[in-house]
Amino acid sequence: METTRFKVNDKPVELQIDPQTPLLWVLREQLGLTGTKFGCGMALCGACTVHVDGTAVRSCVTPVKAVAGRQVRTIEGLSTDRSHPIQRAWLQVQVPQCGYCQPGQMMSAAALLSVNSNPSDSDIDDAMAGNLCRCGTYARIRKAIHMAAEMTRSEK
Amino acid sequence: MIQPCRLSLLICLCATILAPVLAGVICSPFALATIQENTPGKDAQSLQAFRAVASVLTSPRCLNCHTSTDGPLQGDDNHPHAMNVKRGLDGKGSAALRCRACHQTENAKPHWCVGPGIPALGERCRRYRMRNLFHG
Repeated sequence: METTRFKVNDKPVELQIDPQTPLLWVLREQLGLTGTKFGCGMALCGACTVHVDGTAVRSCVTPVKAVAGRQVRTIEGLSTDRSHPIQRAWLQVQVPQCGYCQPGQMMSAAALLSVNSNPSDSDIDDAMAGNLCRCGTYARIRKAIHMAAEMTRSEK
Repeated sequence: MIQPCRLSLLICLCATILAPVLAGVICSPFALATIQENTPGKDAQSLQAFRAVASVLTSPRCLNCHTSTDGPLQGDDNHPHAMNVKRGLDGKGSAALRCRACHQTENAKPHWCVGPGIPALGERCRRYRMRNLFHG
């Protein structure tokens, strides 16, 4: 057990924990942030995607020691009032079907928009290829990302 | 006074004319024969050394990342990486699908962004003093 300190959604966290514990376990079990989902546990599906210092990572394979001193952002911290363009677009397009993969989809989409506010269909396909949706909502995801990108550009 | 664009044109013209002439001198059959005669066994040694290097250069562990395509490959059969992973602008993945998002920093150098198993290759690279070649 070691003391690990980092920030989750701007709040400082200090835990006595095995440094190899997956970040996903810490978020869900220790911190109660259950918005981030467990899908495959092998970085293959993208359901557990969170941001570490603004970059999308797979929390199921990220040991908690890797985020020591860093800022983690989960779906709960994307905004405090559902005002993030991704959240608004997701609601407007009614993207989810079962919804299980959507937190990961939204975090990947937010990471894409943070570096590219005018993504092409190809950019979206490349960036989102690692997030699987068994309901097949890919077309709505792409539409929502275009909409969110437009919101982002118009609000700048 | 010669204009800069005309000077460039003149240099290009001279290079075009002189290149085959110089190449003929350097790489003529006579020149090659002289090299072979003066260095008996050197070419065989070179080939043997290159074969050793080639075993590293052609390893799937190298070619799967250092591809001529716009994305990495996987496995000994060099099939395209699952999830349609792309090289991206900086060679380390696309915007939301960075290599490190899954591969982390545990394997080899933190900036290599590779899957497990690469440290064994690192030993081979060191043996052939080829490490710098693989840092890309």
